[in-house]
Amino acid sequence: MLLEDIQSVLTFNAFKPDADDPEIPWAKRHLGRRTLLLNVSRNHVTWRAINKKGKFAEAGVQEGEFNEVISARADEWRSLCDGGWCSVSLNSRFIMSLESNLSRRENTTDLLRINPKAVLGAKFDRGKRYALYHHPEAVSSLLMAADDSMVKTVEDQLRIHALKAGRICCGLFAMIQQKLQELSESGRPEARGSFLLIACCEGSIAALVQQAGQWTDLRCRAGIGSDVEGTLQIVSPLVQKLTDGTPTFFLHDGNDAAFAAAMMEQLSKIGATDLSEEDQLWKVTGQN
Amino acid sequence: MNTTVCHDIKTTRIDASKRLPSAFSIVPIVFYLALLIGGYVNVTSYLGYRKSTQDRDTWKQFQAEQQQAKEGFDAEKAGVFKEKNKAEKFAQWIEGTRSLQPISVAIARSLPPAVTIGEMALERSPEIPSQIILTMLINNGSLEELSKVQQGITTQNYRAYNSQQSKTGDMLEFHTMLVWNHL
Repeated sequence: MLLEDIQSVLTFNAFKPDADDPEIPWAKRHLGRRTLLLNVSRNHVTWRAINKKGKFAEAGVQEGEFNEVISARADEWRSLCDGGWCSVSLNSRFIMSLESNLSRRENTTDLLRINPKAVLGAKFDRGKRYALYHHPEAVSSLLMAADDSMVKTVEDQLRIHALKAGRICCGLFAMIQQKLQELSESGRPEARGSFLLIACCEGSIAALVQQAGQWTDLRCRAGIGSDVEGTLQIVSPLVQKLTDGTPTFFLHDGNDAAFAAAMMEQLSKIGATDLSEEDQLWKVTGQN
Repeated sequence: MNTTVCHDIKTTRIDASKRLPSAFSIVPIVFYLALLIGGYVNVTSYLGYRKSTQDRDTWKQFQAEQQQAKEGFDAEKAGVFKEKNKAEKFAQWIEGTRSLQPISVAIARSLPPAVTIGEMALERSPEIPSQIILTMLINNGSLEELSKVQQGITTQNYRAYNSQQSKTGDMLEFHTMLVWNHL
């Protein structure tokens, strides 16, 4: 162990972040190394490789549950990444909700991982894992709760197939978090006013309403698939509550262009703006 | 570019240790610098050692050449000294061949008729042939006559050295070494 410690100091590895250090952005953690980004939905898995230069490379999709897909694709996935490191986006068995007056102490993020009860109090459920994003100027917070069993299943399957989970997150929540942060930092008038943000990620949807600078409504549904009508049905009650002229933003994962185009066709009727970037989901999970 | 770090809900590793502060990276940097400097010093020392060895060999060769030359000069000098000794001995031999008759005549002429020579011997020194040992017995002689004898010797370009005289009755014995005065 001592020799390994000395070796790691002399090779500067001791000063580099661990591959699974949650406090460091993924791109910085794996500088100069190939990694694999996975998105695990209920009935299909999509993936995207990142090469040594940090550019997106091979992509793929396979129908089926994660257990079946990983059994079939493990060899291919191992060949796409160095050391078997993967960043997994969970796209099923999670729920997002609006909470208020949650603790915002500096170590809240660490505490949420180690002892979520200390942060959530009575809202804590033993069978869930949580992520939080606080409104920058109000007391409300976005809370994402994913099934603990789902996370453990994914970790076990990866371990069995000689892959490593460098990060497990909820892609939809991460996309919303990033876009809200961008809106807040952009200084646009909507950031402090009212807007509707509709985010779709691999068949899951979340719609967040902000009115007069306060988050007021959130609807979320995981695993409804590429059903435009079904998606619109979730959004429509929120749209009906909005006053005319309220800005509407649409955000999609960037993987299903046909679904995104069909959604925009419908949402353009209420003046929606598409804020999505190319490879939106992969950029969020593979760079931040 | 947004720098928000994406959330992570994976199971936290219990064996994870905090990475070392970036400031500590000075330790391996200093280590590698020390290696580089040590390597530089070693290389320069080795090159210096090689140059010194070459210089030492060159100077040793030069010393050997000079020693050989010195030995040559010494041999030549010894030859010259030998020749010089031979020449000196030859010169002494030449000096030794000078005729003794003029000295005898000069001594005889320096004495008055009343004084007679009882005995007179002229012998060459066995070590230095150019020097002559004079022994004579003078009848009725005195120191005045001896002085005249010495003046006579001087006219022949000899000098009396370590003179001794003793008087027994009328007999005066005179003993001296005659040394040739070089001109």
